[in-house]
Amino acid sequence: MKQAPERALDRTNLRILEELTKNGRKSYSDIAETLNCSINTVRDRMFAMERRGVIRGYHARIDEAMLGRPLRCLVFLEAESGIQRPAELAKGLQLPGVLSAELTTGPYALIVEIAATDMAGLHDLIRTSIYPLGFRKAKVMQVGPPASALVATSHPVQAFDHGEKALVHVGDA
Amino acid sequence: MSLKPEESLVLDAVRNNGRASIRDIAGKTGIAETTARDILHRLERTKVVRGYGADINPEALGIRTRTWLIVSMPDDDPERALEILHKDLGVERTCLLPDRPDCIGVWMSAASGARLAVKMATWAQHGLRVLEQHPLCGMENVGRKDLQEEDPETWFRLMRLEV
Repeated sequence: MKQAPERALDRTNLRILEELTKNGRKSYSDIAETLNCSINTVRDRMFAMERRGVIRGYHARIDEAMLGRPLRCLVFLEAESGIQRPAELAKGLQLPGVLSAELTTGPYALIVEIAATDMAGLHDLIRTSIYPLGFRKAKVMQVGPPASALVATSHPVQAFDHGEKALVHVGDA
Repeated sequence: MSLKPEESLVLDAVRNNGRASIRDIAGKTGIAETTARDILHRLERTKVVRGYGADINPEALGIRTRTWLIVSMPDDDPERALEILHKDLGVERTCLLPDRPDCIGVWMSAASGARLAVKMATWAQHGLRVLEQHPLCGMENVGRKDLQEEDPETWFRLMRLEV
């Protein structure tokens, strides 16, 4: 007899996901204390969610601007003709400054978010490290700070080097 | 700031494995455990590492479609339009676009394509027009029954925490 799929994410699981989103390095014991459950419960649930692909991994949130990469861009990449599996190519994109790479449909194969020193550095990275992976022709779009900053205050923090033009425009309108 | 070689090694060790233990980091980099711990604490203290997060599979939380959009802002009352946009739980994050100052970029998720279309129709009533739409299709597990949980609200909440 065919069994109904086991429900993976009950309330405890969801609360664990929330704690890990806030702090992916939080220890089993600290999560257990926050959720008022046993360490074993937390550990078992996390292992199960990792095994099932609910949790794909953990990352550090790194301030790229502090590392000399203040420019942030989205790079839209076309795959070389004949390339059947851009997802495989995307695995080669674990390069310094590459923040994310997402498959897309339409004229482009991938949208890659990159932090770079400046435009010259970005184009150099694309030419020397990304094109050889099997991509051609990139469209680059500069990314400014979150637009939510404009909602929170009428005088948004000018923390990002490259967003002033847009900030002034929307704020003035 | 420029990092010393050992600091770069530790940073690389946690970049894509935020839960790597100090022992793992030491083993991977060849740096002594006490030194690795000190370096990681220094990177956290100086805010080079701003925190850690989990990579959660959106499909497991009932998200069936994600997309990147360019949305044009209305000339009248763009702040009100932005408020409406940011109140939408499916909006994962937004960014200003310095090359297109009358537009913003939006990372958007929804429980279905139909729901996404409804949201965009609502935005249009407030002068927010979608000019470009790039579906993000890393949804390799669509159809896996054991991952269907139909709880997109949790995903939306987690995305807000991540930002």
